Amino acid sequence: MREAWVIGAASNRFGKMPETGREAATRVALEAIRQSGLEPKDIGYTFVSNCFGLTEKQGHVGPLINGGLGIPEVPSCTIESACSSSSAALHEAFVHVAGGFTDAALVVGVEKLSHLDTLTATSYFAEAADYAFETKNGATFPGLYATLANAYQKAYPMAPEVLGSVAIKNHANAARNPHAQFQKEISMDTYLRSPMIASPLRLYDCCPFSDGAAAVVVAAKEFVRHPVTEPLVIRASARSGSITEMQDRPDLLGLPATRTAAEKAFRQAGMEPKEIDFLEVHDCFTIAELFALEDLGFLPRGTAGRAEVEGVTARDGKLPVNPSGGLKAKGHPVSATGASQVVEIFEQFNGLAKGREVPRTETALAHNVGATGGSCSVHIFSRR
Amino acid sequence: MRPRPPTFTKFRDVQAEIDRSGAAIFRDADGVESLVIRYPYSINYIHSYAEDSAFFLGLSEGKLRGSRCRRPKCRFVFATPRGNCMVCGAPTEWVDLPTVGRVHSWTTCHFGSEAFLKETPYNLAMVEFDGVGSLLLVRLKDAVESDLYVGMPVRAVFDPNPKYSITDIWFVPDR
Ligand SMILES: CC(C)(COP(=O)(O)OP(=O)(O)OC[C@H]1O[C@@H](n2cnc3c(N)ncnc32)[C@H](O)[C@@H]1OP(=O)(O)O)[C@@H](O)C(=O)NCCC(=O)NCCS
Ligand SMILES: [Zn+2]
Repeated sequence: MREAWVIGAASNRFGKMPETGREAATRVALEAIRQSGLEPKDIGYTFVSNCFGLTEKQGHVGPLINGGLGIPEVPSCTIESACSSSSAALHEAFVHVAGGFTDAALVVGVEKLSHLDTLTATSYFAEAADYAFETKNGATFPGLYATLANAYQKAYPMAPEVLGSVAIKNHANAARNPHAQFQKEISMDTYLRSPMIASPLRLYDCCPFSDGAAAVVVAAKEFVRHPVTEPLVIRASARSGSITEMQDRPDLLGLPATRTAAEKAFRQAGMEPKEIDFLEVHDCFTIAELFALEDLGFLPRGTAGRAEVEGVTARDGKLPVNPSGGLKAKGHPVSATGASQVVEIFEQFNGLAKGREVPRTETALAHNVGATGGSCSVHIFSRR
Repeated sequence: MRPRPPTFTKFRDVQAEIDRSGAAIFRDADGVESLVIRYPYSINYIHSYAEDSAFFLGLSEGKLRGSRCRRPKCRFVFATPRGNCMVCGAPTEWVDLPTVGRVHSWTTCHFGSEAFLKETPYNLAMVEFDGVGSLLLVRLKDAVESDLYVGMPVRAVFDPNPKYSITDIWFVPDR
C-alpha cells in the first residue's frame, strides 16, 4: 500500500447557493485542484457524492463535473451512503490511490436543497430511513434522533443545558468560519427559548437544511514531489455499518457503527484516542456529538455531556471538537459534509483557519455518519 | 417575446415570484444574475410489500405479526418483520406478537413530513414486548407529551379502515 495524502481541499459557503449542484461542485473542485498544485489533467478518477441530485432532476453528475474541469475522458462515479456519502467517496479515493490504481483522485460532495421547502426536504430526507416501517409512520430524522436522546437521557439523566452547551459551542465556532451557514453566536437563553422540534430536541439542537459543495484532492506521496500545501497524511480510512433500523439494535445508547469504524481506524493508524489533537464529528443533532465522543472511544459512556459543559471540547479546550461549527452551525449539505470536515482539518493544518485555530494540529480525526448510523466513516490524519 | 422577469436579491422573493408568474431573476451577492424557473416533479410509485406482505395483511385482520428465526439454536424474535434473521442470517417464520407492551423510548414530533404535519404534535414510540428481541416503532395516541415515560404500558389499536400501511396500527396507554 502507498502512502496517500490530502493535498488540496476547498468548500463554498454553506447555506443557499443560486447555482446548480453541478456548477457549484465544479467550482470547488477547480479550487481544490488549484490549491493542490496539480492540474486537472493529473486527476485519474473523480468520485462524486450527490444524494439528492435527483431533486434537481440531474443524475450522473460525475461526467458533467469532469467536463467542466476540462477532463471529460477521466472516469467518474457517484458514491451514495446517505449523510456519509462524501467520506465514503474519500474512502474510495484512498483505496484507489493507496492501492496504486490512480496517482491522484478527486472527491467532490455537493447538495442543493434550497429549491425545496422544509416540508418537501423533510419528506425526502426521511426516505433515508426504512420507508415502509419508519417514514410511513411519521418518523423524521429529528424524531429518530430524539428517540435515541430520550433513551440516553433515561440511562444518563441530563439537564437541557447539556445539549444546549453543544449548540452554543458549535455556533461560536461557526461564527468564525467563513464557510458556515450560521455565522452567529447564540446564548443559552436563545437555545432554551427555541421551539421544540421533536422532544427533547429543539430548533437549535438540529442541523439545518443546507446547500453546499466541498472537494478534496487525494494523491500518492510519491506522485507529489514538491507539495505546495501542508499535506494531511491519511493514517486511517475506515468504514463500518450496523443495523440501520434502530428498533432492531441491541441498545439505543449510541451508534454501533461508530464503535466498529473507530476500532478499525485506530488499529489501521496504530494510534490511540489520546494521540488525536482535534476532531470533526457528525453532530447532525446535538445528542449525536455526545454519542460520537463516547462511541469513538474518547470518553466513557455517559460522560460526554459533562465534558461539553466543562469546556473540554471548546476550541481552546483539551479536546477541541468541531472547530468548524459542525453540522449544527456550519450546515449539513448531506453529500458535502464528509468532504467539508476534511476541508476544516486541512485549513487547520495549513494555518488557514484564521480566528478559530485549535492549539495543536499534529493529528486529527473526522467522523461521518450515514442516517441513524447504518453507515459510518472514520478518517485519521497526521502531518508528514 | 416575453418581458424580462423581475429581479430579486432574496431567494424567498424569487420563490414567491415563481409561484405568481413562473419565472424570476436572482441577483447574488457578487451581482451575478440567474434566471430561475420551476420543474414540476411527481411520481406515483407502485410498491410491492413482497416478503413483508403477511405483516400488512395481518394488520388489516387485526393481527400483529413478527418474525422468528427458524434456526433451533437462535429462535430470535423480531417485532419488525425480517425475512431473514439479523442475528444469524437464517430464514424466519411468522409468529403472532403480543398486543401489549412497554415504551422503550419515545419522542413527540412538533414538526413532520407533509403526510403528518396536520397531526402534529404526534408521539412516536419504540415499543418492547415480552419474549421479543427487538422493538417496534409506532405512533402513540391518546397521550400528551407530559404523560410519556420509558416503561409506560401500552396496547395496540388497529385501524377499522385499513390502508395496508404501517399507520394501520397505533398504540395507546394501557390504563
Ligand atoms: C429544524 C428544522 C425543522 C427547522 O426548519 P424550519 O422551521 O423550516 O426553519 P426555517 O427554514 O423556516 O428557518 C426559520 C429560521 O430559523 C433558522 N434556522 C432554521 N434551521 C435552523 C437550525 N437547524 N439551527 C439554527 N437556526 C435554524 C433559519 O435561518 C431561519 O432564520 P431567519 O428567519 O433569521 O432566516 C429543519 O432545519 C430540520 O428539519 N433540520 C434537520 C435536518 C435533517 O434532518 N438533516 C438530516 C440529519 S441526519
Ligand atoms: Zn437467527
